[in-house]
Amino acid sequence: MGDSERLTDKDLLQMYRWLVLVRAFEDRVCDLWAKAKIMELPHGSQGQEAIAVGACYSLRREDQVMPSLRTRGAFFVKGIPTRVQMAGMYAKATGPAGGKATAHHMGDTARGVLVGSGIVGASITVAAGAALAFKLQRKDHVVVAFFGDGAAQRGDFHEGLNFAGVFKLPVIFVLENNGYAEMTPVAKHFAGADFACRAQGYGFPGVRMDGNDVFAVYDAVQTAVRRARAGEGPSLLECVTYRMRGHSENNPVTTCRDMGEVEAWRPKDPILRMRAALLKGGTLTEALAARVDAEVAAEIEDALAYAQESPSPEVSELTKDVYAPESRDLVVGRRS
Amino acid sequence: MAQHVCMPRLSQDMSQGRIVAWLKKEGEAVKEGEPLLSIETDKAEVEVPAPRSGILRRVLLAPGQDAEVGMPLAIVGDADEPIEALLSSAARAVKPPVARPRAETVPAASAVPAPAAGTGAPRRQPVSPAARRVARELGVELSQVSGTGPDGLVMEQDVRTYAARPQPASPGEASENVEVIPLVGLRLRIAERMSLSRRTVADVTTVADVDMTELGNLRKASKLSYTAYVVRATAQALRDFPILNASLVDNQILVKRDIHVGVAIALERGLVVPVIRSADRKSPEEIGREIDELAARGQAGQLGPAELTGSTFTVTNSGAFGSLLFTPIINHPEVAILGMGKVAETPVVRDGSIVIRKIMYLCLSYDHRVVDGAPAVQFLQAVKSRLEQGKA
Repeated sequence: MGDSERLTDKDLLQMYRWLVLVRAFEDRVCDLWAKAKIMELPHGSQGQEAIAVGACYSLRREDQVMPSLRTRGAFFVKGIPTRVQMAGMYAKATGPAGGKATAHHMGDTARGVLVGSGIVGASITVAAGAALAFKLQRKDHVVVAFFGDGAAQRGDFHEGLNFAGVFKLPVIFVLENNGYAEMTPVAKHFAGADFACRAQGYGFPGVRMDGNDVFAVYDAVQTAVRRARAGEGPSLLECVTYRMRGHSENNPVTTCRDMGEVEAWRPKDPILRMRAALLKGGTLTEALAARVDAEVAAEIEDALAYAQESPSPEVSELTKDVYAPESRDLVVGRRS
Repeated sequence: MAQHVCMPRLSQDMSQGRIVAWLKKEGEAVKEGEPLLSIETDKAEVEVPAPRSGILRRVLLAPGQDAEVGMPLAIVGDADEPIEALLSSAARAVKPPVARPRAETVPAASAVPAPAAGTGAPRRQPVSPAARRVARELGVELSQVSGTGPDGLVMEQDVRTYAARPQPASPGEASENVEVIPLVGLRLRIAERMSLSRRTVADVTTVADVDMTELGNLRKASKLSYTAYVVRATAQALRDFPILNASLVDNQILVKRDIHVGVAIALERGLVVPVIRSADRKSPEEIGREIDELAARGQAGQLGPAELTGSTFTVTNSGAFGSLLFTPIINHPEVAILGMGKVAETPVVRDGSIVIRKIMYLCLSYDHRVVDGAPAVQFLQAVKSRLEQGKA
């Protein structure tokens, strides 16, 4: 019996709610960007939500997640409040990084979210390092590292995976193959058949799956987590999905592709599919689905109000948490 | 449901854009993602795709009009649904953006005639990005250039050929008798700082005549420059008149407790002001040595930012070049600067007789927003008195 078949109705509804919430958040911030209201340029994860939600659901608080720049879902499932994330988009002092950094560089160590990097791919070796820490501390926690097809072409991928394989580190490498590295389609930056088979070169299992099937992702990650906790080493999970927006919100969706391709992926939307599955299985009814939509909409509005009313960080705090404390030799940004 | 098509935000600092051309007409069918109009920003000309499939029901702004980011430009919807609500909300939302000067393209030496007024939307022709860039650099109107690339593509070479065609000589154009020095680098920085100082400071210059004869005698043995003595006397006097050792920043007068004296040094390429830190704690000999060393390093271009920032007061010597007296410009954001005139044998009256003494004018410019006349003059008199006693 697969892990996902053991999920209770409560679990299923919670996962569905996460998907809807992540989508609503992303849609809203993309809309806000266009109306020139927010500080942070959104890199929307619309279309890829099932990977983050499926992977992070059922992780322990101590398990660490290393996000990529498009892993918004991980922040939600690991417990960073919607309000706090929205405040982050407005660069307010109440945001996850105190208004000092975008989602590329935000984390929450208390909740098991490592700080990602705008240097995409550099996080892979850092995630391996975090897993090494667990191994040295003899803890059976795991690290789940997210990155894309573009990041997988960096040297960091080779170094991180090889190291993890040699030392049998408890890290799960989740490769979100969404068809594009920024504006470059996979066919133009990769001549191989799939990414999963690379794992064999590093001595551990690699699995390719439908990244828009939240159950498939959940199952694959749970299997990999068990492997890791038992000390058997890493896994590479290639989740095939599709990025529905442009690379970031200043790239229109058609920057590098035909609308036909985007339209072809619409029926494969992960939220539509989970919704259909839950309706069919009786866990969800139309009325309940509508209520989830309404609750999520209200949560987003509340987060927005919170973010708008929050203060920006003070100028006097400009260098706090950014530079070491000022000294005679380090005086930042002030004139004599 | 019908919706607005809004001015997209293409970068974090983009605040508005200009409509270049509509690629679809009112009533025409559009597909999601299909280019609907082209807009122009400070940086680029870009096509805006339709956000959904449907009919272009209404065009709200015309080519050439500006709109702020987020403002509605058009309405796309189904053929027969009502759009009154969207029309009125668009009318409420549209406000003319703040007029800003378009960045002028600098024409090259071969001047190109400006396009005739009244040309409508530019002809939509394929133009390579390189050609666009060169056209901007050379001030070429692209609609005038014929393209020799595939499908009439205008390429970089086409633009260059057009720009290089023989021009009628325009009267009053820059001729060969002018050397052009671009205002860049150190020169630009100096220009900006001088301008800022005179623009913001309420400056007054007060002058004192100083009898440097005693110091002149001392110099024969010490071999120190007059500047070294003046810097030392200034630093000492600033201890008693700290208001002259301050900065005005954002409605706060910051009275500095440390006395770091900047000494203006003339280089061929411009002016630099290296700093003698804690000048009040140094002897004239130490100050003299430091000035020489900093001047030598300045000539060699070896002064680093640590040595060029942090001054709280500046001393500048035009007398060395022969200036009698002058009105120095305050080194922003300090509140005062002391200028040294030349030391000259001058007839003066002492005890009822005319004698010849070495006289130097000391010119103190000060910021009257912060320092009043009395303390300024008293400070200057204190410097004068120290110098005249040969104490420094």
